[in-house]
Amino acid sequence: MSAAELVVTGIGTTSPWGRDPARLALDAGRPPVTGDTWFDLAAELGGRGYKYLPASCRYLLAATRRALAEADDPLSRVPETGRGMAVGTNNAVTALLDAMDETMTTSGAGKLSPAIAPFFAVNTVPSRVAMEHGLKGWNLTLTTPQTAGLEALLAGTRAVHAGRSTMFLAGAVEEALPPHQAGHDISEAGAAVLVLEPRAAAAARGRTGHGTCRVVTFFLPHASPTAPVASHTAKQAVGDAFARLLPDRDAALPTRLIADDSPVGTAVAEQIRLLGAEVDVAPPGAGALLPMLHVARGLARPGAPHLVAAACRDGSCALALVSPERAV
Amino acid sequence: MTEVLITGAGAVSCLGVGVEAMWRALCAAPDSRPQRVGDPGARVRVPLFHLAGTGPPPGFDPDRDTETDPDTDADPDAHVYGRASRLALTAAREAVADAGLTSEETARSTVVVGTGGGNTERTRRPLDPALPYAPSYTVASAVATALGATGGAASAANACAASGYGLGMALDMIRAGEAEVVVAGGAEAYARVTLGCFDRMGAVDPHACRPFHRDRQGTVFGEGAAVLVLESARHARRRGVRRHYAKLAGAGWSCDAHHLTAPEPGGEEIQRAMAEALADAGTSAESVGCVVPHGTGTRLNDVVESRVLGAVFGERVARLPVFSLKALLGHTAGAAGALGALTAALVLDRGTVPPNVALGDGQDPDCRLSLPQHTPLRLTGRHALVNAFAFGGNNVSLVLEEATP
Repeated sequence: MSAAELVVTGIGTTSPWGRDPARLALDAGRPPVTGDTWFDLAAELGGRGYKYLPASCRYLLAATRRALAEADDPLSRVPETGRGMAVGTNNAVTALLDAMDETMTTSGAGKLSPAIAPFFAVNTVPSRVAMEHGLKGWNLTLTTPQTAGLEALLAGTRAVHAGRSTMFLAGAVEEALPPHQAGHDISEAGAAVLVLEPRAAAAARGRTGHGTCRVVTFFLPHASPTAPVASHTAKQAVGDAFARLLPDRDAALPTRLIADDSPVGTAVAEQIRLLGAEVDVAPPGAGALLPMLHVARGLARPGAPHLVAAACRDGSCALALVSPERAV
Repeated sequence: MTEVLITGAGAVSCLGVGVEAMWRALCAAPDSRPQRVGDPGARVRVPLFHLAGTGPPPGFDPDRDTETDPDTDADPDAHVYGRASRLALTAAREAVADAGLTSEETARSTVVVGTGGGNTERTRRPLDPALPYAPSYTVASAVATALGATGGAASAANACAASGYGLGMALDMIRAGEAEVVVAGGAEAYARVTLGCFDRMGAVDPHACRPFHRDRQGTVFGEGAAVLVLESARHARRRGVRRHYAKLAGAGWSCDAHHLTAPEPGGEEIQRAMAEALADAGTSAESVGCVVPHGTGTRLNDVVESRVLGAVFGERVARLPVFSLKALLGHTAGAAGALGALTAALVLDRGTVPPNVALGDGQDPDCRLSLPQHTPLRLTGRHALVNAFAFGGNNVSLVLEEATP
């Protein structure tokens, strides 16, 4: 355990699965995500200034506020240029783009809302959060299918260790897909944000944190989404990932794998089991949020170290070692 | 610190397919005009775009050059979903072949691709009801699949700075020992909604992309992709690499946290990005012999960037060659940082700064930069600086260093 190790000192979630990170109902099936019946804008953000924002941006703003409040105002001791943010998303603005496309093809671009127009670029969602909290260090938006949230943890940690900031916020955010688009029935919605700072910095302000989270990624190439993954490729890639993540310990940690029954998901589950781990497979949604919600819940309540993994049918895979500070 | 070499490169844009076609066009500095898009759904005032691979590029010589349309049946990637993916694959295949990577070395590599919108056909009408769910951002995974790369396939989407951030991520990955070879770059294809939003904001120039011109009225977007093979010097030595274009020596990241679309007028954070990139490269402004600016043709951005370059380089900015790439390619959005980095690598490799598209006496007096025209210049200086800025105030600067024997 080093003083430079990044520890999670704040967790904020807002989602149809719940708002309390320790009580997220991730094992109870898929809740309805549309209609925003689960999101109270006035209660979460209050005041004015949030009318002309995509729903996803409101979710991320709300989760960020919750995370920073729970971390007991960590930004007050960090200059603006020392604050980074990495956010993973796949569909934060897909519904917006769909609506804009409809407007363009029916009424023309002149009917697009100038207030909303900038959000065609998905990175404006986390950038709006940066504006609210003075996050000037850097702002990184990752969109790798399904693994982007976990990848935000990895990329942000790497950036801090490279000296690009002294702390960072890692997040994932999604918004429901339009009803006429494929994937609507498995839409994700909501946001999760973690505050990560060096253990020494946290200790200096009297915080021990919730624990740590380390991530590695890999890719399983295959000819098509339905083509099998070569077993030697899967064995090598998964084995290497475990060796990087757990160089000094037994790989047989309980694993929550978010994956479908595609060749990639099946291959990853099989290889993790062959390494001796107990694998609990949960179906993915249309986005990068669910793996981050699992990480958030894993850190928010006492427990033993465990893995959260995500394997997307296109080949993108990530493994997260979640080490809660408080043991069971 | 681990040295990161650029050992392979690939490109596709309105200038043609391939690095050499691009370099010839840069040196020819033709008057570059965008095309009208043939999209009936693009109901905009200014339907202009620089499209890749849809006609002979400027300076095209049919006796010397080959041209591939990324959408034709002759294209080996025609089966791959999404034009951005196909553009990226065209560049990635060239880059990997250029680097001379074996299939085993490629299999151990990591892929990072920056793209603003990815394969935007997924949200473009008419929607294809037969398509299964997939997000738009499958460009990196399409490249990793085609190459058989197992080290990871990361997609960065920081709008017009996406591939700049992607290259910065790749640099950090190699320095951190996470990867020895990263196939990194950017790709952007025609996007109806992007065009529409810029049109709505009055930010599309009806004439051409004219960075630093006093009459500029906005930008004009372009399609394109550039991919670099980034490799640790140790790995390159081990496999007997004999030449490399340049080193990716440093990166600086910052965020304005000021406005969704406009740069912070004082340019404080873009200056910090440039300064940190130089410091990360272990060099100073004095050693920079060429700048590939962000320079999009939007009014305030060009002025702010010019002023900051003046602050970074002092009085030397009056004679430091700035190469305005977007005047030729248009604004390739998520691919812009990678195409800028490729241009800088070629400038260092060839020891030559290509001439800018002629501005005549039209240079904006508020953009006090040296934009040499008409003839190439001999490069002086061991480094080149590349800027990529984006909506949201997301800034990245890269510093490249000349190759060492």
